[in-house]
Amino acid sequence: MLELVEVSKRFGGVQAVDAVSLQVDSDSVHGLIGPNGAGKTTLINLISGLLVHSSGNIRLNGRDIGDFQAHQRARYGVARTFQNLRIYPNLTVQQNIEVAASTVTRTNRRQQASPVEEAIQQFDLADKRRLYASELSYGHMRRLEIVRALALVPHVLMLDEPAAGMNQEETEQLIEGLQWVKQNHPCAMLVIDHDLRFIMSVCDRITVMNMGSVLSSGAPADVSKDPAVIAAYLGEPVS
Amino acid sequence: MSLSAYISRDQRSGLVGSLLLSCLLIAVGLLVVYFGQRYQLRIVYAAYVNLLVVLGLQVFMGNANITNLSHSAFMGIGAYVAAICVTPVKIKAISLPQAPWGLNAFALDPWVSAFIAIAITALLAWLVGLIITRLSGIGATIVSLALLVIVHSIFLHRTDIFKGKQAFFGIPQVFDINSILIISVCAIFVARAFRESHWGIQLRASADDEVGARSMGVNVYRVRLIAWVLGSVFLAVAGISYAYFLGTISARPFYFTHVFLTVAMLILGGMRTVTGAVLGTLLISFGLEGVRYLETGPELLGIKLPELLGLSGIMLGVVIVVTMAFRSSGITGNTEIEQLFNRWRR
Repeated sequence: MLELVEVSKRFGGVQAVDAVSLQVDSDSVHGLIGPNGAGKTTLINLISGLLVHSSGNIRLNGRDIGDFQAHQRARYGVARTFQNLRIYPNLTVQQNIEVAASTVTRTNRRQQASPVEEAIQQFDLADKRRLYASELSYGHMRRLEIVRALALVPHVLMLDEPAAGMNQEETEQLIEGLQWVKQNHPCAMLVIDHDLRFIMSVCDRITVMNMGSVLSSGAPADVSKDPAVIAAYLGEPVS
Repeated sequence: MSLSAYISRDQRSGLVGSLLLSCLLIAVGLLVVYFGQRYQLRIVYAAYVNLLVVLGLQVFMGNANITNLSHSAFMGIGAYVAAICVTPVKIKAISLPQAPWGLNAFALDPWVSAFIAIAITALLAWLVGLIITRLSGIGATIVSLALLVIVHSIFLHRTDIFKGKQAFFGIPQVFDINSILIISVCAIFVARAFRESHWGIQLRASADDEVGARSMGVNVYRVRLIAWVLGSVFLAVAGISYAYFLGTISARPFYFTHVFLTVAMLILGGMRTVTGAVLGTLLISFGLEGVRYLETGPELLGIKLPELLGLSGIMLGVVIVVTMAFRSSGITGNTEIEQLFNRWRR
């Protein structure tokens, strides 16, 4: 279970994340939505250790991981994808996945079975293992990022706009893929996206952020009807 | 249990590639041994010493994509430490009469001396590596350049230990062309094994995207440090091989000209691959011999060419400029020799 307690981040005079508290259960998918600049990606960067939080606590399975460096958090089971693709273009698909798989700690490996081989099949990368990552289509690069994150045998999986730039068919396949992850290799999933239909169809709970703070949190149906969320972000209720 | 249970497909592929490159090296070596003249033997020996240097560069610079210009300094450290340890006491009494710490009072077996030289070079590299591996881009390059200048200055001015501009002579000549052939083949296998190891793949991932690598659990500083120290071992072995063949060393060969030459070799061949390191070294080593011949103003097809002194230096510069301008990834790009063979077979 991922738990954030009053986490804040300040860049000079800008309060990017302001006392955000959040809890993501080990088998649930949690959506994080909000307008641009709301602090969603900053929050993910704080959880993954790419940024150091100014105050608050970040706990994973009861352990405070706030002092861990980014690579230590990843080894402890904090996996993520990026808003802008961060694959390794000069490595093959297989090697991209091996990078993550090779850093998994023995403890983590003992606790959970690696989902890699099944994930490669599920995300349609089986026949592309020997290709360089730079040779993949955009949609497959996005999938590779998810499979690579799964190779860390994660306790928490954070996806930063995984459906960005995808067409309708690719988004449908992504939804199927995430549902497969949820059923077969449950972990705490935190998903950022602006495609609200995508978010509504994969998430069990949603947190809406605005100006670095939590505006609303709850079940998708309740959040979409929250007047504050409608005023600040949605504009109109989402069915 | 089959081999595939222990090593990955890339590692098996690396073994095949190493074998092919070794065959190429051995073929060139044997050709010269059986059909070449004595001066050609020396050229091949020098080429293979440079190959060790270029492989050492490839291990760190090629995999981490961080430009290193200090490699000749580490080669020099290896050469001088081995020379100080191995040179007979009687000779050191003449050449190093003022040597401190009793450096002129002992002489060790060549293998023990080589081991000490490698250990000291690796230890110094580890100390420097603690700083340099935390830098990237221009910062790392400048620090490596500063290191080259510092070491060269010490070689020049601590005349009581290194003899400055004078030759350090009397080193037992225990290596021949067979020794360097065996060492070169081993070096190719080690460089390729590292490239295909978990550390090598993690390092190459960090070269592509450092943040992306950290987020996948890669301790970037640690894998860089491992590659840096391993690279320094290659450089130490190159220095030892140089000293053990010539019997005489001085500070001059371990400075800018050598740095420039070996970087040009790696850039031309392609620094991402071991095949590139081998190819670049062979092409420039033998190409330069042709250029040096032209420098002397020979008569070709009845035409007397003018003397073109300095042509080899110009050609090296041209090679770097042309390669960077038209194919910055070098001749091989991202392709190792066995991948080239596989494509050709299809």
